[in-house]
Amino acid sequence: MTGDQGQQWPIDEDLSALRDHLLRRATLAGLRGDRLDDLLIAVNEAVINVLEHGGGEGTVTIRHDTAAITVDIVDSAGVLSQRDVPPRRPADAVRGFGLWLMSQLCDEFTIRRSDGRSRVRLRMSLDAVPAR
Amino acid sequence: MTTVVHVTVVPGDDAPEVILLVALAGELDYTNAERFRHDLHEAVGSEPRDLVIDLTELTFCDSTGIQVLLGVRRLVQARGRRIALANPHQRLKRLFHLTGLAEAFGVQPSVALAVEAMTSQTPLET
Repeated sequence: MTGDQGQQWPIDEDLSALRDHLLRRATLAGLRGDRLDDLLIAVNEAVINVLEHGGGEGTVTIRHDTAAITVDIVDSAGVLSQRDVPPRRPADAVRGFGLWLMSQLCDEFTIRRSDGRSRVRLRMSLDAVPAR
Repeated sequence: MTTVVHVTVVPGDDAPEVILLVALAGELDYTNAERFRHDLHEAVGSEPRDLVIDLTELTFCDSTGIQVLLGVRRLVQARGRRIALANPHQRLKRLFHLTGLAEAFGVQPSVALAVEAMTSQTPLET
């Protein structure tokens, strides 16, 4: 379904394994340094949102092409929407803090709701750093 | 499973008795933050002491981990003492900067510098 570039994992409490998968995939795609760390932090926040508020079940799908690496985090609650993203850093980091982080860390961050699920899409361009 | 974050109280050979040095190791996230909170508070104890947290071996931290660190900061400061973080990984530095934790804490490049920064300040005697 996702082609030979795509890979999907169910979300569970083994966040460490999920981060390892992501690091391996993103490194293969050519992401490095701070931008790799940014994507890692953002995806981790999206996944803990699913565990905490998003019905506890979902999937992480990672794919990339020459232009970008895209990670979709889908929950089973379908409550989360783009309106939940705080425009500014919440003063005391509770609900919404992870969402705000995601909005700061990735080149693209969108939330779409359909069929009783919410899909967070995090994307990093692979050519964002000018090679000069 | 994500394994627990190890919390180790480092005996103070050269650090003054008034400073407690705690070393963390592992990956701190949503799945082990509650256990970590318990262990860290246990290590900190009830004595009012300055606290240096050595982050050298902490390879990951997420927003729930940040919450725990902010909680222990409130505890230490409520006792009139100070807190510093030492030697965070690049990945943690980035998160600390974005979350404002770097401003809330003294972040030092090494344990020695964190201890020095504390001892060189005017003692907080009551």
